[in-house]
Amino acid sequence: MSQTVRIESVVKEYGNFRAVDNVNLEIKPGEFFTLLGPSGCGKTTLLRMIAGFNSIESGKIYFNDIEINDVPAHKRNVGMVFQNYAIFPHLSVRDNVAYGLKARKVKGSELTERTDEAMKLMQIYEYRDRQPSQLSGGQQQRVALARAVVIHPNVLLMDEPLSNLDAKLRIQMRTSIKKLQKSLNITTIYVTHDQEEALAISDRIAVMNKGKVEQLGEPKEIYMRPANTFVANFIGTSNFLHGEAENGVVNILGKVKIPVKIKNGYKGKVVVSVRPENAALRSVQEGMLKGKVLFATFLGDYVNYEVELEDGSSIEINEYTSNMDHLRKSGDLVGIELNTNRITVFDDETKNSIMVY
Amino acid sequence: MKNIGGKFQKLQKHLNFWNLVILIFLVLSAIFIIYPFGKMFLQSFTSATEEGFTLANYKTFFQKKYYYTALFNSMKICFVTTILATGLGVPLAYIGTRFNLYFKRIINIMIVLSMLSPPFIGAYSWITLLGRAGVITKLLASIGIEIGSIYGFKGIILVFTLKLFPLVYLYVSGALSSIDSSLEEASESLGVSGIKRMMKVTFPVIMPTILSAALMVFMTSLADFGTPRLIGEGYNVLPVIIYKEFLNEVGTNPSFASALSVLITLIAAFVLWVQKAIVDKKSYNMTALRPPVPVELPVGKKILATASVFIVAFLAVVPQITVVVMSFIKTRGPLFVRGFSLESYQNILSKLSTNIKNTFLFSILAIMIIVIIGLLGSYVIVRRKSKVTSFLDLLLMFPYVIPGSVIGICMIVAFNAHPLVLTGSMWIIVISYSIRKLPYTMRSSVGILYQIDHSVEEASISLGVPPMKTFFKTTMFLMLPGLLSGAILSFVNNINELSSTIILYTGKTSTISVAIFNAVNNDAFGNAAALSTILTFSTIICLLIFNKISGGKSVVG
Repeated sequence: MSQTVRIESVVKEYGNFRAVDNVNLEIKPGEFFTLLGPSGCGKTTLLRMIAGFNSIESGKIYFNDIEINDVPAHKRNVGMVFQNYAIFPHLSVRDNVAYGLKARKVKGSELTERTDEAMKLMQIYEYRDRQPSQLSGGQQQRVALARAVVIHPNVLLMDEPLSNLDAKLRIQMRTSIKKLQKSLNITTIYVTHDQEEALAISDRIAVMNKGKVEQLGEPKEIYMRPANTFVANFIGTSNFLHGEAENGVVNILGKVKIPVKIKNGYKGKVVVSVRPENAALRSVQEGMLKGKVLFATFLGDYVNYEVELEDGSSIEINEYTSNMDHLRKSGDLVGIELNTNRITVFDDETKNSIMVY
Repeated sequence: MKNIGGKFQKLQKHLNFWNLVILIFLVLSAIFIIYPFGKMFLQSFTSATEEGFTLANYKTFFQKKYYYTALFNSMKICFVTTILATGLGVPLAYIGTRFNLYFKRIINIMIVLSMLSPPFIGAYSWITLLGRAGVITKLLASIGIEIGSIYGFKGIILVFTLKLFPLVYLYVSGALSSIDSSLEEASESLGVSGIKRMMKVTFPVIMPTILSAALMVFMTSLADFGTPRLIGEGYNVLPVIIYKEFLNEVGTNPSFASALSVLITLIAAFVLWVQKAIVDKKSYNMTALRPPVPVELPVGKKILATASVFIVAFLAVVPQITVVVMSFIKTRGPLFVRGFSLESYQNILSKLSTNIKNTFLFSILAIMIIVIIGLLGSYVIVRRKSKVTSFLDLLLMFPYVIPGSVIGICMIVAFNAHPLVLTGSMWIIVISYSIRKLPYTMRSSVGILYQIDHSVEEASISLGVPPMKTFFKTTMFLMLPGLLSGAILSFVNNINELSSTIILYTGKTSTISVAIFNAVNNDAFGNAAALSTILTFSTIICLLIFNKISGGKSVVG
């Protein structure tokens, strides 16, 4: 049975330092929920509080409405996958996978069947009698996964499980993990600092920074409608342009005026975020920002331009090769067309989004 | 009402197994480390001649020439030994690691064997060879060559240097093998190669290791009792006069011996402080991704290099070889007569079987104790870090600065009266052995635990195995090979130990080392040889077991 995980006003303190600062989250049954953020944001700390390895200074955590604050880690029935796999080096693959089942006094044919099933699911059955030292990183991670899911945990917790693998393997594994999770329907909480990974596998993402949740939402929402400049910058790439907004119009760098759907009656200094794919290079013309191409980097399916603006700052613009007019060179003078439906406007002081969707 | 329940719950939480362990260890440390050393320390301020607190003992030491020369002598021995052992060990280590030599395995075995054997066997062996009636002495005299006396200062230096240079050799070899090749390749590519590179890059990088090894040599030569006593022939060093004064004060409170003990401990503590202050600061953490590849020399140079290392290594094991050979020769008192004989063995097995039994019994009991302490102690120090456990760590390391003789005296001072009388029993010796090896065991156990990934334990807990069961089922299992190999080395040290045993033993609790000592003093050289051979072979067997368990790890870790 997949469970709900509710995190209510949870605080983790080390002396005077708040690693987790009043976090409120509710994770739905069977959901693939990711805690995403830079190093030190509190995501792993929070995960370990759910696992039972970190104490909870204040607030409560519930599994399916049962408060688990005082339940010791070994009684929480969580499956945990660690960044460095944490496979028992002295046990074979089979004994590693069977470890949790044996602890639950599962014996005989049930033990063998469930262990074999998990190993076949993670495609490690052929290595069942090998020692961990004879396995590659990817294989060890699959053993760790099999070991964690075979016990039918309430919640599956994963702490940056793919960070130690090479790039190509990482992409393969994250697809496997996603498929596995969907088929088993276990509530999963996943920690990563890799925003691309988070976007690819999550049902919902909580972006964290300095112990707080900056934004909670589905990947598309987080990417397209960032709640503040931190999220806009952390996810994908953002160009930030300064301007002023009044009466639903943003004046960028004092050069172009663009209509935007912002809060009624807002007037003040703003920061506008434009992603590289939401700007295009045109010939120099009225009503567009002017710029000079500094670098053009051909990357196969798209070209990455670094363009200098009139105020000396520079922005990045990506153009798909199939869409572009022609390849620009350094020194070219260009006009920059912004996709006004896809820009986000933030108040310059609070850094929060003032968009109305 | 609710508050009391809450408080009781909190108390229960604190009354868990590990806190109990910490408590028990603190109590045991108080009884067997703080109390003995403290009592001895206080005793040094009492005197047979004066009432109450007095500095009489210390005054006597610094005023009487007989005593303060012992201090100078000790310092002389230590410094000269350290310089020679280092001067020998470092170049040999360089040759041994950087070049492909013939017989490399045999050389290593010889070096490790000489390091593990007790120095006093070396002392008496060299006497057998180069003493007044020595085999080689007579041989050379018959062809007209007179060699000088080996007794006194020269003999002590000879024995110590040959016994202790392996320490430097092994440590420095280890360091040289962990320099990543890229360090020296970078130097070469920048134009500094050959000897200059050796002086500017290689040696500075291994300097902390050289200094650490040198300091260990210093402390070992400072504390050794058997060698100066046997071959020194009246050359007074601190451990020897401590022993003499202790014998003088038997039946009374050994206050003067206590004062001497405090002094020698202070010197050892100072040396340790120097190490912490200077060496530790400069230590470099090196793990070689690409360790240096030994260079293949042209045949002529290869023979030369091999010969130089081989000869020195061979000299280091000459005592052991001598002793084994001697044990199978007929004896008449101090003289060896031609002819193979098992007489010596028959003698010792009939008369000294208790000693043999005691040596192994005491040592095994001691390592059982220290393995348990090492296991539990390292866990609380590493996984349950707190101010209390850091203090406990310090306490358990304290015996490191206390020379063997001093531990013996501390034990006597503490346990020859109520409330706890242990003198004369075997337990005082077992406890003494345990305390001596405690620092080494703690350091190596802590090191082992640090290498075990904490997440492996957390994985076990998350899978449903409670923390305590996880420890005994998984962590302990993973620590065992390291713990056992450390225990074996401690066992070897214990069976060979003399400095504290000679002070603590009685008729029923005598050991092999004491028997050897007495046999040499009584000119029963055959018995001494047979007993020494038993120790040597036990050492070799332990070394083989150690290699098996530790999978080729170095003896100096």
